[in-house]
Amino acid sequence: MPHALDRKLERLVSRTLKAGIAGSGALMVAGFALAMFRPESMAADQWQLAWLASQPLSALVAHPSFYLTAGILLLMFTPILRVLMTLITFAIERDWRYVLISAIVLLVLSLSIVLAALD
Amino acid sequence: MTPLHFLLALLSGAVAGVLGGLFGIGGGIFLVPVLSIGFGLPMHQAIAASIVAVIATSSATASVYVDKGMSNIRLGMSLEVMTTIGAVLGGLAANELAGDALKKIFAVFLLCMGALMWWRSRTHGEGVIRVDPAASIHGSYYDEAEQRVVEYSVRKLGAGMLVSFFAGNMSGLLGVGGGIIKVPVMNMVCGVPIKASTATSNLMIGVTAVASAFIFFLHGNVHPFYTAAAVLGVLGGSRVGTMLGAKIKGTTLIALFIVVIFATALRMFF
Repeated sequence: MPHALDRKLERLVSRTLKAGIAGSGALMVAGFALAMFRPESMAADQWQLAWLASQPLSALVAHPSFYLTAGILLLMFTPILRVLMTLITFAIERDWRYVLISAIVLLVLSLSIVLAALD
Repeated sequence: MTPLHFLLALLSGAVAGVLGGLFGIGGGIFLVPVLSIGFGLPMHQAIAASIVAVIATSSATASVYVDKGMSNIRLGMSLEVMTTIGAVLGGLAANELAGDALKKIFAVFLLCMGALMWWRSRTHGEGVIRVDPAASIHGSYYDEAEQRVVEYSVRKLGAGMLVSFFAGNMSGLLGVGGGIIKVPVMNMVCGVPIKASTATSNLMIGVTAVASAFIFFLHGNVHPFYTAAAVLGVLGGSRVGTMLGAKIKGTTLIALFIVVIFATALRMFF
């Protein structure tokens, strides 16, 4: 692959990562800003997944844990998105060896998430 | 979480971010004890927060290094195949094995690797960097410290992949990111300049960490307050880390990396 196309891939990967951390950073700042006004929301049980899942959406949008958890989830999906973007770019360039390599990485990652969900 | 705890978590995240940007490591070896001993978080919550922080370190530092052309995406992707498979298998076996014995074996391995890196830095300086047209992966980047374009070819990719499997396995078993193995392997085995090795490791550690992060998250061990505070610290610290990492001399970086390897080995022993 000529240098110019590698450069395109580098820009795409860099932008994907930057967008991911900017988004999750913003959600986390919003969460902590909200927590300053609602100190009672820092209670020990008000962050667990089971507790969050039991709350109605109207209560969640006013709760810091919701924004912090959303930020953490976005952060966790960013590297997966990065691998997906890389796979698509290699496919457009018809670089099949790296399409295969990226696909295996994506497959193993998905498998680990499914295994975690089933466990 | 008290405001003081928030500030301290932010600060420890920042330190991990600086270490990550400089050395291509996730900083879990530093974050886990701080969160568990310093804040009294249960061990599995400390590891969970640390693993999410590793993802933040990876994305924040790699976004800079990839843009500068310092991370080698093809090399990273090739090695990631092995680290992710290794991490999943390691994660599955984690409950079966005695953690303490394994830690000591890992520490001995690190000591040997640190000694080898030290010996090589005295005989070979930054390593044997050369361009080989027959190699399947090549790389080049502008070295800000030396003010020149460095070109290299990746050698012995197969051996690199084998050790990456081992590195991934260790991260699954011990909950460490594995950057501390990936960097010396890329540098000493594959002939990748140290700065490209750390930058490529930065890109890789996020993917390795994601596999285990989901397990911790779905088990409800990711404490959003402590984790998010550490992540915000990482985002700040990694900016400083990447600035230093781009400007530092390769030989200085190798010398500092050897110190990090020995410190990590000692920490594993005690």
